[in-house]
Amino acid sequence: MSQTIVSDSMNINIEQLQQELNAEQREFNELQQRHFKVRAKMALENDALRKSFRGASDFLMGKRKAVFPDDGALSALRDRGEAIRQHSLANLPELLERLESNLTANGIQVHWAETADEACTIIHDILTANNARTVVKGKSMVTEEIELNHFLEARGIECLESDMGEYLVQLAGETPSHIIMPAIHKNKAQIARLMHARAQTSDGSQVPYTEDVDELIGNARAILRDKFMRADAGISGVNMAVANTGTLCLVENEGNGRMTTTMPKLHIAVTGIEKVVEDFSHVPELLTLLTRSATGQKISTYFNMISGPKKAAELDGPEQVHLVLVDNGRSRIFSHPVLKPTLQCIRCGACMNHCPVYARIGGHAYGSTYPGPIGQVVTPQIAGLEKHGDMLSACSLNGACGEACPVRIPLPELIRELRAEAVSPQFSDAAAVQEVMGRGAKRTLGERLIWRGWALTHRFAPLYRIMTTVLTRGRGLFRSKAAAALLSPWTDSRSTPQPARRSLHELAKARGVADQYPNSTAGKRGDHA
Amino acid sequence: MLGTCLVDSFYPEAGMDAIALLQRAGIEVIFPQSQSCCGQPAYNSGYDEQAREVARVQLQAFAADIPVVVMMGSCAGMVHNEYPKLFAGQPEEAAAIALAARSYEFSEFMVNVLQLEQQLAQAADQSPLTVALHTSCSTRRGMGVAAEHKALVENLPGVQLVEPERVTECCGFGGTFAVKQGDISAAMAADKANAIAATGCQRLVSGDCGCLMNISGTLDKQERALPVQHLASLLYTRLNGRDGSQISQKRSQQHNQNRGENA
Amino acid sequence: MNSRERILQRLYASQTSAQNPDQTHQATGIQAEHAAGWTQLAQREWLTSFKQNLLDNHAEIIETTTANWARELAQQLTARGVKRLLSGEHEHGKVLLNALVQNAAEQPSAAIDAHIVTTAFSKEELFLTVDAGFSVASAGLAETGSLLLETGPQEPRALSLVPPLNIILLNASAITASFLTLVQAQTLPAQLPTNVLLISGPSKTADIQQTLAYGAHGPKELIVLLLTDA
Repeated sequence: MSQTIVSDSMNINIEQLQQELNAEQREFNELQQRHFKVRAKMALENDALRKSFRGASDFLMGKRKAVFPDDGALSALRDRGEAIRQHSLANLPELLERLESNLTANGIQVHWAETADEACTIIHDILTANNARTVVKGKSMVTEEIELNHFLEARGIECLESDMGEYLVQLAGETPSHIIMPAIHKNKAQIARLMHARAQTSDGSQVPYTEDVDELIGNARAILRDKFMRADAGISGVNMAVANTGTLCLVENEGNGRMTTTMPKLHIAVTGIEKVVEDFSHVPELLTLLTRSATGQKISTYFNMISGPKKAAELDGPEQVHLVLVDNGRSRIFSHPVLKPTLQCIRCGACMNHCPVYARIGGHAYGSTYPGPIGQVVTPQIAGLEKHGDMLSACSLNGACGEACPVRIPLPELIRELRAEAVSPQFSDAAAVQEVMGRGAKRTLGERLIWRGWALTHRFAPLYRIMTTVLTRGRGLFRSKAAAALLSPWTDSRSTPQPARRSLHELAKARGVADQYPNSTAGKRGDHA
Repeated sequence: MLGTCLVDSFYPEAGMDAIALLQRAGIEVIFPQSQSCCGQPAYNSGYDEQAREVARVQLQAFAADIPVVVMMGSCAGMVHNEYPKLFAGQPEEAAAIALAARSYEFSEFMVNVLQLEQQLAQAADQSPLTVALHTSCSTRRGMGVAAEHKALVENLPGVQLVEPERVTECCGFGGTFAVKQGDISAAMAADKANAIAATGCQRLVSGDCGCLMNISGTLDKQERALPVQHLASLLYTRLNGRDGSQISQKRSQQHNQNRGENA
Repeated sequence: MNSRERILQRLYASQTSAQNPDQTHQATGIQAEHAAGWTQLAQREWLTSFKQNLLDNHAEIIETTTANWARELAQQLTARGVKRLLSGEHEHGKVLLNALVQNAAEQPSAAIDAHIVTTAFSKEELFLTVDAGFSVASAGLAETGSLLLETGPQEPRALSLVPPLNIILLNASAITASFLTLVQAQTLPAQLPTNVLLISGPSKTADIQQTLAYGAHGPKELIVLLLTDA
């Protein structure tokens, strides 16, 4: 991305700026079509981008740490979060039915969608039935997942994102790079150019150039408040849906979620089927885990609990409220014995904030709605290993994500499991519901041969001895150019490792270290302490 | 002792130093010659069958019901945390669970069993030395023994422990990750190398040789080589007043004036 | 079979084949213990914590009394140049209106056009002409500095959302430890109002380069009137 910093608004050539932005958008779209590795490399080479993500990760990790000062209390709270989410999943179908029945009793209409396309169609049908032509959207990752905006815009419905970050990303023609901070990849100067070149005030005029954050937010506020006032419908996500009370809960700071669910006559909420919790008493702990993990806040500015459309005596609020329950692969995840905890996720983004890979390549490199560790786990499962299996190798299994997860999803374990799925033979039985979409998609003969060879040399002591002997005796070869070329992913940035003169096997033997234990009488692990 | 394949071929002196430390504490050490690799590279890549084939060899090599000291945190994590999962539902499940239960990461054994950290005051070499400790992610998170790691270095007289920025962050090794995502791995390694170099430490110590190889290789390539050691070697050499067998010739020539060979 | 039935059928099918049967159907197992060890503020800390959290979140607090709050608020509003205010149809709203009338009598130039809303209002009017909205909270949460608003016919949803200045009145005795204790005490009506809110500060965003800005879409300012004797 080129970055022309223009601070004197008198000197800005708006046409040139617009052309630049169009070029950047084309570049973005092209890059999104390319291979994961290409995107990662481009991101690594982009200093501004690296700085944005490093800064954001450090900022968010620091904020989270500050609101979790006590490790013991954090651990207890995470236990609760995990228990609540696991309880919800253990009873998922019953809870969904109970949710539906209580929402219906509260006057909220419930719809079920198996696929992304079906969800979009349902939403479109509700909008057209109500003659809704303009829609404001609150922040919702699931509508990103089902690509609702494209669907509606292709059918002539204006669909405006109203979360500040999402609004900016939409203005740029991009996709969010973080689930909590969608425009985290852009700096002030880039946003200033974007607003100046592309945003229009309600009277159709151009927004003055400014890099002042308060002014930028003020300009967006004016534009969006006008939209809230006029929009025919609001579409929002859901953070938790409470089965026992028939309540939809939304967490936010900006007020756009409340605007979206309060001002238009029609409110459509969209959620994945996994977001249900049984009881209202489960909400406070999940809420505190969510806001503390996401942005290091004790609570968000607004916690919005919706249990029905406007009643006759009420003076405001939507006349209709709908909930669209989206499956889109989730019931398949639900059936997998190892991967099921994927659905425990409360979408806080802490895993990406703590991921050292995400901090370096950013969200767009993943090429998926959900980036970072949770994205690596969710995306291949809902969109298939064939298309998204490559991102699985972008993990050093360092465990930072699992350590940060407020509901203890064993993310590294799930990433490893998906790697295994990606290289496993496909089940012949088509009815095997556990199968991850595109299982075996990354199964290549070359890799299989490498691992078979590896297993062979490490299984048979004589072969292993020969290998280590070759390594240690041939250590001089490691200095050769040929070795460096062979090991190039390693040696491009590191010196070639030097094997020792003698292996530990040999040294131990030479030193007379016993090879076998004569009798087995000693005790277990704890006994030695 | 499970030496691990990296120690075996690249850092064998660490294994020998650990054996000497254990013997010094009056422990009889067995080094099964049939051992090879814990199986982690294949396991982490999703090749469970191949991982099992190799892990089975270790189950046999370490069948005797005695504690197993593993020379790297990452391999200790594999045996301790992953073997029971890898062999779930397999004939060897019980053996895998048993081995997991009696396997220790090196520093874990040294501190929690031998209380070695309390015996370091008499170290023969108490000369001033600034050390940066890199506790690997598997040692820290997988095994949860970062405190043990630190205690051993902190209690060495004369040793000043310095903490690099973002000390808990991964160095970018990650086994096959370093090869499959070379660019990302290199970026992570470069940041880690910078953070460690910025401490001005005289030596880098770790309980994981993959990380050592990664970080020292990066520093080497940037021509600011730093002596590196496995934790076992640091302990042995400080306790016995001999120092240096662990540091490769090339690095010693560049940065060390006071080290001799002792192997 | 429709989508609903197919989704539920798949879920029920995998539930019965679930490998860990003791995980299913535990309807009450997790109700028992709520986050043991999590922040449990002592009652004497409630007020301080409540205020500090609100201040940290950029709210203003006016500590006052049942007798004086309306007059104090009227003066504040005048000082801030508020021209137009709306309140829900409740007792506190009437008290405030009276105080504003009195204030205007003493100081005609500072008269505030204040109304109690009793019928549906136009969005244009609300967005474009109203400076301040007045609401009454039914509880306060010490742990987070939150105000519980139960909207309804007497408490329209938009009054705490659209006007740039949001004023919320709270009796200090209605402060409780946390959202968890509030929910556990079952003080919320069994049939929840259509829209219940926790408000913990003015609207804000940090979406541009993690720089905090207030007044993202909703109120730029939040004044909490804390009645210390009520």
